[in-house]
Amino acid sequence: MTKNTGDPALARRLKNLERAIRAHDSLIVGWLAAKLGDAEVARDIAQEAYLRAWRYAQEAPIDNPRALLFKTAANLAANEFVARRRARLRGPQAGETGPDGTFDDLASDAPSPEQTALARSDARLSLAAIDALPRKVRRAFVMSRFEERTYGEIADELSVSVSSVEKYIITALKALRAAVEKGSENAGKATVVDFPARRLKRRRK
Amino acid sequence: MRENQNRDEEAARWTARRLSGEMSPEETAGFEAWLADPENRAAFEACAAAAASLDAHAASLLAASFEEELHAEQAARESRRRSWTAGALAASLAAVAAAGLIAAFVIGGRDAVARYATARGETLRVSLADESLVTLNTASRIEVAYSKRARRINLVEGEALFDVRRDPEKPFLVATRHGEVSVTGTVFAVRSDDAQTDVFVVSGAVSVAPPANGAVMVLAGQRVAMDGSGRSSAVEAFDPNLALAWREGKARFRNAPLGEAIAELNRYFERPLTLGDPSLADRPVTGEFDIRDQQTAINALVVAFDLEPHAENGSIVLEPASR
Repeated sequence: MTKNTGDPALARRLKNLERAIRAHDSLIVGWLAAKLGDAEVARDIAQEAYLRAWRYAQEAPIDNPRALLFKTAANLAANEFVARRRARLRGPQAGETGPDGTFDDLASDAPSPEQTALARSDARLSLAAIDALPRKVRRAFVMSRFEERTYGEIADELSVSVSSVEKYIITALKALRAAVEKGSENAGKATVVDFPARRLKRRRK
Repeated sequence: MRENQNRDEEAARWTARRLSGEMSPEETAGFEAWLADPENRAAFEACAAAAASLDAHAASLLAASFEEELHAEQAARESRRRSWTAGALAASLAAVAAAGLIAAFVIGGRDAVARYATARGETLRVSLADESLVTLNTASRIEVAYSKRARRINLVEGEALFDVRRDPEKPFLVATRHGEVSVTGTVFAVRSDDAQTDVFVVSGAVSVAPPANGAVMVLAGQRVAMDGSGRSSAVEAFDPNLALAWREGKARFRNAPLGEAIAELNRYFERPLTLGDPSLADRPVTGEFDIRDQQTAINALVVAFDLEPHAENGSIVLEPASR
């Protein structure tokens, strides 16, 4: 893992990273454990993040070791989250709208290549739209849609009222819908999106 | 350009209510009624599809959100830390870090590491670079890694008593597989086996940090345990004459179950003692044993409990005397 070179810049880099790991390990592991509900998985993911950061440090300069650790741990945690969500969707409840009222059914069918292409162009506009939103609006939507947190939890996280959270979500939905419809208008076609395959056929005329 | 702005507003509102997952039965009924209008339904479905339009990017959006949470958490800790007045306490709590893994990781890096170990029945007294003293009890192993910022000890197994020279600039950190203990200067013992880590504080105060709950302060005369759950037990008083008798080459018990006393003695003896009759395990033991002399210990037990020892498969079985 450790290259035995006489490179003093590398040595300094690794030393700084090591210091950052020591200083932030309890924060990272504690946060991961709370996020994933499992201390052991948290430990594993933190360890993986440190190893990745360590490998990265062998190759490239690092401006801010702490930011690198946070980013790496956040990426790994996000992957774990998405993997769990997928596993849940493949489970017995796949295809239903969950009791939590989310829209998993709209996302769970395996898309055709055309649909994937369409989804990609929709997503590009949607991504631009969500990036353009104020930070709290964006985070409220992401926490609700992808973490399935309640509006109360989101309100705590963002230090705002529950009714503000609901307003943020409405703002985000309107912006996303406008982006999706803009994509559709650009393609010169109707805006009903419940059957994307049929929509594609119409589009080819 | 739109006459349907009201409808779109309502659609976004209903979609937000649905996303909340907290709709009352009345609300759901209202929603169903609204949805009965095909144009409303189309507007709702467009909103729902918009909500789902980013699903392919869930991971990157979540990662960005998580990253913000970590930075916010860090900022919150920073300000809490600054608000503490007691410097030494702050230093020890701020240094709260991880157990075995991180210690192994750091030690695997580039710090010079000194290792000390004892065999069963042995004790070892070591003076460290900063003149702190470590006394290793039986069958114990430590790794010592001192850096400019901290004095790190990894207690790989067994038990050690630390008499730490005070240095507020460099916390003294003892990691075991169950958590970390940090001090700036004091006397305390840490004992770690597969099941748990016990911390006994002789003087001063230490901060004990298992991974799953926050740091716990343990004061002189108190002990605490951490186990594999990553949490700490309640802090309670202990008697150093019993718990730390090993420093004088003794094991002392006061009304301890015989089974426990034998397990304790077996930490020191090459040939373990076992009880031939399980009912003996609950008999109370009070007394002092010489942990460097197994024969004397066996004789004391034989006399006190009316037992007969015999050798069997490398161990010594204590049976009730037949008569």
